[in-house]
Amino acid sequence: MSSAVRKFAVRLLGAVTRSSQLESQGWGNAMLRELDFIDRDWVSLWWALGGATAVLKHSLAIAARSWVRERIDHRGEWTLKNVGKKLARLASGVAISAGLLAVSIVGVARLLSAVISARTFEHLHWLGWLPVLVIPEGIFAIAAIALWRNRRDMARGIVLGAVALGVHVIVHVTTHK
Amino acid sequence: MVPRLRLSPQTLQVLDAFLEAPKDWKYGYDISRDTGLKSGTLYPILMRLADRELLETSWETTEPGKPPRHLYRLTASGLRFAREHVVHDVAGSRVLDLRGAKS
Repeated sequence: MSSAVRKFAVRLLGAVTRSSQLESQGWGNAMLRELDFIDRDWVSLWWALGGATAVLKHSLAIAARSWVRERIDHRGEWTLKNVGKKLARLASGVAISAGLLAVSIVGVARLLSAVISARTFEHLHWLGWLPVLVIPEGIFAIAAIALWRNRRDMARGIVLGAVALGVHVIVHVTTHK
Repeated sequence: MVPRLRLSPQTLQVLDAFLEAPKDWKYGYDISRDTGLKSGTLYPILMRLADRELLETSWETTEPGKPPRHLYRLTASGLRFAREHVVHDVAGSRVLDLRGAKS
């Protein structure tokens, strides 16, 4: 008949074994089986405690290794081919922002000059910022938000274009006053 | 080539225990009694040796209805490795060699 100490030893090692990684469970079961051949109850408890520690360590080491391997595989995204694709999408975003800026400057500026007379335009200097800054930056923001979920690299390119335009305007304003 | 293995005095003790009867399969508890190592020390060593294919394992079913028992024996490369690192003194008693501690 099993004593309470032995029962506890079996339960402890059994529980740790069942909750460990699959690769460690064989070792846990091996130690668990050896308990049947240990005569003294207290010795069986020390055996179970040591065994549980060994299984736990083995299991943690396996989990840590697979975690690291997962991270390395994930980093595999950054292969030369993928970096090229990412850069191409980023460049396309920048090109789109440059195109939008050109369309805005040429189109909106022409539209403004057709709608507003030159005399009125002299009084409304701020209108000049519309085609070169306000409208393009607004479109960039909307496009980047719209593309962020599905075409993130392209959206990043557009954001890059928006930042470049903003910096250019700031530099222009500060150096031409 | 054997992958890097930390050769602690306890590992050498285990290898030495296997060298007593290199062809025989051994039970974990018997190795523990032979070496005086507790399960928490012995099994990590057995795991490392098995990982490096220096140790082969087997399940032995003796009694029906009872779960099988795990057995251990050195592989051919394990045997070579053990003989390289566990040497005998002139009198015949075993001396544990720590020269290859970084093998």
